[in-house]
Amino acid sequence: MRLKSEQIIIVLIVALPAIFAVLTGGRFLSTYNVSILMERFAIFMLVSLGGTFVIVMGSLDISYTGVFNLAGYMTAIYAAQYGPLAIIVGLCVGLLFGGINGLLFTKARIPSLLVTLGTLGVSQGIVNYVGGGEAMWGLPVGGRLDFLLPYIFPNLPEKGITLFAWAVAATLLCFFIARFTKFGLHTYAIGSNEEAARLAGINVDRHRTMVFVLSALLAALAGILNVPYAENATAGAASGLLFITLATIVMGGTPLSGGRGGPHRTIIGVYILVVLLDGLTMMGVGTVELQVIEGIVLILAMLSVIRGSKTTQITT
Amino acid sequence: MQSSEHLLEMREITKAYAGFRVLDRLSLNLRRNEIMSIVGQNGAGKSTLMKILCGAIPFDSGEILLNNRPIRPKDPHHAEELGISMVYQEGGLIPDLRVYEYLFLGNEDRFGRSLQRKKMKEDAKGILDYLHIAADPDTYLRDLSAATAKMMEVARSFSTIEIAEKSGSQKTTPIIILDEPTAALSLEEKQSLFKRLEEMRSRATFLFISHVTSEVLRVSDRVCVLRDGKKVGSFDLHDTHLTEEALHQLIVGKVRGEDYYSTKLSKFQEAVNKEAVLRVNNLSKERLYQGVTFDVHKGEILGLYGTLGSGKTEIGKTIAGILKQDEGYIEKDGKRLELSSLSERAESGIGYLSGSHEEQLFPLWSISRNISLPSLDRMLSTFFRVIGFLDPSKEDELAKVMVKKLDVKPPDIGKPSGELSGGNKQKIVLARWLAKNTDVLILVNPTAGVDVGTREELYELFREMAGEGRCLVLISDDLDEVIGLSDRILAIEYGRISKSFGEEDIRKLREKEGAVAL
Repeated sequence: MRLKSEQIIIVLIVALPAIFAVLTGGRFLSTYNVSILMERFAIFMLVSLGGTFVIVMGSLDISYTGVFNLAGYMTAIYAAQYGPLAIIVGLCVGLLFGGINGLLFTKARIPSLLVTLGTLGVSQGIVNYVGGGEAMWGLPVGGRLDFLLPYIFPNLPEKGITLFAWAVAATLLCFFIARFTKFGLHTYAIGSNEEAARLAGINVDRHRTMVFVLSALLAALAGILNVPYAENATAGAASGLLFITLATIVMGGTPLSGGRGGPHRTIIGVYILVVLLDGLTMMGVGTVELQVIEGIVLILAMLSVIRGSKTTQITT
Repeated sequence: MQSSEHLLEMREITKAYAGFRVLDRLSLNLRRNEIMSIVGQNGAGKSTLMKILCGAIPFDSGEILLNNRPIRPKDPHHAEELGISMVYQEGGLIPDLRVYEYLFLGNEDRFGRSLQRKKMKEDAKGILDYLHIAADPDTYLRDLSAATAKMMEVARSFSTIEIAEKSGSQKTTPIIILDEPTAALSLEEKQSLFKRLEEMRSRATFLFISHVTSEVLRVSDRVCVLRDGKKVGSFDLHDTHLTEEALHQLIVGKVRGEDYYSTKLSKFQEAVNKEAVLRVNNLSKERLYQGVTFDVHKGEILGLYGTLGSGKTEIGKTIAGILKQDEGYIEKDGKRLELSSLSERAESGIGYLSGSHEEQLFPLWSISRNISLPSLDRMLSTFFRVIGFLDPSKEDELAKVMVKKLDVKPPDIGKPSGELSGGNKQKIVLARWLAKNTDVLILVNPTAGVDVGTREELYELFREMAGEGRCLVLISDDLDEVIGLSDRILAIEYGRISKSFGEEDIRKLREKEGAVAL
């Protein structure tokens, strides 16, 4: 009997935590570890949402870790001077880079993978330049951005829980945008058949630009929220997330060829990866080994998607 | 057994996809050293036939005999061993290779591990001489003219067959399939290609696929016409004099007997007043059409007719915003339209419908969503419109109205559009534009691949839409269709308007019923 990928996913969702709980003697499901899981889930989810839209559209955006870092860092710098208003600076970083990505992709016709590889370099370079050595160690922000992560659940005085609430809200919003708005439908339409979308009168270039802007805005939001959560801004806050996020999106069920999947599928991918990585860490697997495992997971995710769909061509 | 005059015989070849016969008991034979053309509309079965021959797909029943021995090509490599090779329409060339490298691409093993370049060049020269191609094996492909480059693909087919045969057993006249080899060539390049094909005929048998009737008549010894997966006939051009127009009619077939001519002209003529909705001014595009000027009035069906390759389709595509003109402009309601912007056209009320619905529909999406896609602005939810939420019930409501109006079968708006028949898919695209209140429709071969019954329904709908004051530009390879529906016809020849037929002329044409008078 051949298992369908849907069935494998359901088994993984239930079995992974159970296996880790047994292997760690219950520590995996302790209140403390569950809160850790939720925080990591929140960060991964916030970072993956924008990329999901881009992949549904049949393109790729890998500039988000740079935008994440730059938006977070700029917000931290300006927070010292302007307080809460500094988040505007962070969001503008997203707007700017999203716009650049979109325009270079649609007007200059550079493949999206290459465009965003370039802007990834530029945004990351700016953080390193502006921050200098300080950015390596982290720029403390004190409590200036704490208003972003209020203690909304009095019984759970953890910033991580509020971050989780942010992630849930953002995910819900993205899900509804993808499923129930013109913006969302146009994104799916372009991803499944660009030519048909054009012939149906969709302004494909403009829409693509808008999706890149949305993607970068979400990355910037994640970067900004990460600052009060981590209590400082570092140049490399998100750098380790680059490939793992691609893996979560694809593993969740959004194929690189576009047109299918969506934010609700990314939840599954993030869940499985967070549980897997956390469980392995608890079992004593080191960071270096984890990197290798992340890479293997990414490849396996791609394989499963390519095997599952008839079109193996990756449109970037 | 004595050797027959036929090199290759295909007997009653049938191929079906999901019960639909794309090739229906097709029999065809090839003689040695001839150029045989296969012509037919999109979907007639040409490409299926080619793919079967070169081993890309298997056939369901029938048999293929090569030199009187049954063969069944398993894959393209096997076909090459048997002596059959295909030159694809595009994509075969690698501009950064030299001629000799290209000719043996994939077969370098013959020249040892370290590639004896000298031997490669000599062998390449040998092949080129054998085929009368004057080119230096050292040249880069990118430096060749388009026609010579095409010949290189043919030469590569030769070398591949030759090498494949050496590893196999018997030698035979190679069969080379040319899939629309002239598609990317200019007029002079075409001439040069034809000349060389004739020179090469003593070395091989060619199967020539083309859309352009004049080329087919110019270059082939025999022509085989396919329609709907069946052979309409094959003609030896040395015995039969076939005019371009006659061949064209064989390809598109006649719509017999239907009395759509009899519909009272005046009924939809009434709606025509002299208000020009669409104005095309001095439109030109290099190699495709020149100085095209015409108006389309409210409630009018304007037919554009010309042979395959005349440029009529491209004119339609330019109006729809798919192609960009080099010169001239298009006005709608007195407003000049931007260059090549489909979304602007859709917003200003110009819709496009072509015979190939696979490029227009989203097969996995429901009928309802396929219809509402361009009109989503009107589908917003009453309460959450500010954040752009759609109300699926509004989409369904619209779809229901449209499905009823156009009599889509089955009328199940939740059904994925990919499961509908060709004619009903066309209705969905039409419904999409009607729902958007489009007042100019560009129809390009709107009934291609649609069965006769549904075709009639579509004609009725077109007339109705004109009656409601929309203007339709009908571009079709089917002369009867153009004569039967149009209020005015422009004949297109070599990218120019050569003649205009008014109401009276058309009435006469209709009386002659399908007379080929253009």
